[in-house]
Amino acid sequence: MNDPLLDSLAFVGALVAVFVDQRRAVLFACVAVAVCLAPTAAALGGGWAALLLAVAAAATGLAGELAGRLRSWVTPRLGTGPRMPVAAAADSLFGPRSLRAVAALVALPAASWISFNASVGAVAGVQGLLFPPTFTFLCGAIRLLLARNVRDLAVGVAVVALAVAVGWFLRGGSAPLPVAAGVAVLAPVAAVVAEWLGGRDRPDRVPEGAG
Amino acid sequence: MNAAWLATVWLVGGTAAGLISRRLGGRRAVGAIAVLLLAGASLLTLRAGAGRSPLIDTGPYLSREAGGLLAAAAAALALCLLLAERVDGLEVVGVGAVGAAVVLVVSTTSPLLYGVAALLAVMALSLRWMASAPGPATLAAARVAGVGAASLIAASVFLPVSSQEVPTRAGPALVGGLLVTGVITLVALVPVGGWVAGAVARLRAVDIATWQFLIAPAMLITAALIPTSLPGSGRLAFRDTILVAGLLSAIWAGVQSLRPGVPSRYGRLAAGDLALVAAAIGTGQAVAVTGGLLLIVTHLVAGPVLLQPPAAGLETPRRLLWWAVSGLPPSPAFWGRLLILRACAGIGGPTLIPCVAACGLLALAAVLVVARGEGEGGAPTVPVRAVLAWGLCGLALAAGLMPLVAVHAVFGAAA
Repeated sequence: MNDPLLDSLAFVGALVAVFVDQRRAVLFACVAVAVCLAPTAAALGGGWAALLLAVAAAATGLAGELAGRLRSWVTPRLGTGPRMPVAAAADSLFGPRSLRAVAALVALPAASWISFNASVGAVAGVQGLLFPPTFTFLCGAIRLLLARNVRDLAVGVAVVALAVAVGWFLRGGSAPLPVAAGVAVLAPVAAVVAEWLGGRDRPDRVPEGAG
Repeated sequence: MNAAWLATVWLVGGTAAGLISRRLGGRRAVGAIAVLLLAGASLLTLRAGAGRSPLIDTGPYLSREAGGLLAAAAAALALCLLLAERVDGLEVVGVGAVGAAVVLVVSTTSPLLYGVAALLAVMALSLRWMASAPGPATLAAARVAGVGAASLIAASVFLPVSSQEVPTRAGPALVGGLLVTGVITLVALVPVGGWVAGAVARLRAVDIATWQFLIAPAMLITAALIPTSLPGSGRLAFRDTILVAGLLSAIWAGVQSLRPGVPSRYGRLAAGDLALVAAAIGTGQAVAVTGGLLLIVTHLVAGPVLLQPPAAGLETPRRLLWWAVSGLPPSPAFWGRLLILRACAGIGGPTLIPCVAACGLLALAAVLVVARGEGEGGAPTVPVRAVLAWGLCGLALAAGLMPLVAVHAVFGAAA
């Protein structure tokens, strides 16, 4: 598979991660990133690397669903829920998303520059293959930086984790698969936190800064 | 016990103590005892002596410096709990979760685990802060500090920088930039330090102390080791940036803490001193780092009282502790800032002048509080808290009279 195709796939996946909102955003972002980075991971680390991303996305969905089911077991209480905006109004097409779009536009040349000017590799330097994980990482960082609630934060952490896992295959070194798996575990953890808090949040609370 | 076990003990112990105390009562006592036990467990993990069994003592150990910091921070957090007006039990859960991640930060030799542990610490801290005081200020902790921790994780992919790297390539500078971004974000330096300034006005003492006693000092003592693992341009990028950001942050904190009616004046002053510690690391001189460690010790002693709101009956000990952080001789802060000033003087005027300005502003802010007092105190305090506060005054006096002994007692003789 050629580099432009890998880059284009990663671009699409990262854009989905930047724009996805509402409930199950963590799962949708993880699936999009995993599907679009899987060819890059396979090219760098073989079939097991691609499988790792698929397993991470599946685990994110499963763990999030299980944590969501627990909401019926807990008493709603005052707290910070993932759907509760604490810094901005509720989700809308224009506004928060347009900020993310502008930031992603800035991230595009930044990722390209890093890909051509920095080398990665514990054993031998590798250049030019960095764009897919770098752009995905920057989009995850954008979700973190522009987060308005806990769910946005969880999306950011999950996307960053998957991007770094793929970057680790590029780095090589000894036993990259277990290390990458260790980083990818952050994605289901983020989903669990977001869904668990969703179960514990009292829906009638209007937090400071909302609206 | 190795560091992985210690992290587990922090996480499980903090969570269990918080939840049990909420169920059975005695939140303050149970929380303080649990955190003191965590301090003891941290000391058990220190690497010392010979003859360890390779079967049970495998895994990373804490250095004397890191273990001393963890134990001292846990003791200071226990005092914070004992001196607090109100304890809801969940503070201890937050302390346990953040402490577990900080154990990994200070013990790991893997750059990737360092970044991941920093991210976990930030997420645990920010979730606690957002649950305690939901709002834009506490959300910013997760947003900004989360990006900082993510940049530490990103840097790990580029490490180690190849020694055959072409000089025109940006790899080393990029790695240095990512690392310094992570450090200055987590230590809350200019221009990314607003997340702490905004949160300290809304949070209670134990929640602020979790950052001030655990995360920030842990990042600082590990940041002092980072430049040695970077090649030329990366080392320069790291040191120069942290020096400039540290000095600017200290000046900014000094100006802010002089403003009349500013909420949490002590929090801003402590942030200014932590920024001076960061600047000390930027100088690359051992004497400055020793001064920075003394500043950390000073705030571990003064913070548990000064982070609390004023209370009737504690006016005199609070005034004495303000003197301890003022920088007037023979306060411990005086010796710490003096050593950092000396290192900056060795570099030259462009570094010395802002350092003098920062130290002057921070000293002026504290001296004004010592001279004017803090105004009307709140509800009368109980005698036990007064005794604890006076005990901390004695410790501060001892640290001022024997500054090197204080540093060695906490961080070991090699510090």
